Amino acid sequence: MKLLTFILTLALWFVFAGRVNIEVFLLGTIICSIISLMLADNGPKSVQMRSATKDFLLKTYYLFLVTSAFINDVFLSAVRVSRHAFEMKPSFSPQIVKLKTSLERKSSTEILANFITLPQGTLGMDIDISNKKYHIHWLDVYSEDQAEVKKAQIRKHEKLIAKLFD
Amino acid sequence: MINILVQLFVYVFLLTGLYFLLSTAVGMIRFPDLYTRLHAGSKCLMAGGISVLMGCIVMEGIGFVSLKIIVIIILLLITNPVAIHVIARLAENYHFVPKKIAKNELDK
Amino acid sequence: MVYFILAIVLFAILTFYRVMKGPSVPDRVAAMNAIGVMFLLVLVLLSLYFDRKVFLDVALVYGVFLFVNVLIMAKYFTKPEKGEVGD
Repeated sequence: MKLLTFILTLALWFVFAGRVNIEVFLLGTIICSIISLMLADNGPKSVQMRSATKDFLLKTYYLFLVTSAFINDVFLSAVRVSRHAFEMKPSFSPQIVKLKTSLERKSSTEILANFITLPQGTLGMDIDISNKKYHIHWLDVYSEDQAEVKKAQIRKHEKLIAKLFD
Repeated sequence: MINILVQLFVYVFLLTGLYFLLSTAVGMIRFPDLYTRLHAGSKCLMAGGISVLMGCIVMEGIGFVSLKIIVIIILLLITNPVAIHVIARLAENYHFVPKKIAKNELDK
Repeated sequence: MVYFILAIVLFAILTFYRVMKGPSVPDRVAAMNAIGVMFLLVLVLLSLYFDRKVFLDVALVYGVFLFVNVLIMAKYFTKPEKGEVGD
């Protein structure tokens, strides 16, 4: 685990430096080894690894899937909000709704909050930590059936994150 | 031939980015409520920024400059939703009563 | 290329209306966040236009400071001032 953070921070160091030299490499190894020794104890504890190599490939595949779904949903919902912005009379029915989650870890609930805010026309307002409930504000849900459909979409994201982090 | 195609992609990405940024500005002015303004300030802004930076990547090609732009994209994707959450948490102290709201489950 | 930069600056000036008028503090903070991200895009486009690579580093550090700005504003504006009414 320390080796992984070392390689990641060294790659970030080369990107920031902008050129590949022997001097940049020497200074980068010193700084990145200090950072990885300090940070590997409590940083990546949120991602569990059972069997090292096979699980690692599977997790990177899920990470790619999650980010691609994320960017796709951002564009879809931005088109919807911008259509509301250019109407003559803005017509939407905002609602505030509570939703209960089943995620266990603290980090996974925070990532799900990001997933509620950016895609699909919803906005996460607050979290009850004791009851594990989100307060959600959403724009264009007119009837009960659409509310059920939208909750089902959030459940789908929740299953993806549960595969990745729990 | 390839130069013309690359130029076309750059213009398409930049024009979509400008459309989303314009919708952000118009939505900030016209929407009636704080939370709806936050909708305009999170989603349209993120879509506009991502598409403008993608246009920059296509214009520049493969190199260290495009890698730095990818780092900027990842930083925006992480920090902007957290900023919006913080503003929405700040608004709870002000006891807003939203103007036209259809259903509110907070008071139960 | 120049016209894109001028258009983004124009949108930032349009958003500045909400900072001037906004009835409460969170409106102004959200509008300032939008203006900051727009000027970050202007910095990236300028670095490609003038062909200076230094502006990209300036843009990255500017993005980090923007996030810290919003956090500090949310920490210290907790109570509404006297006579200030929300929407």
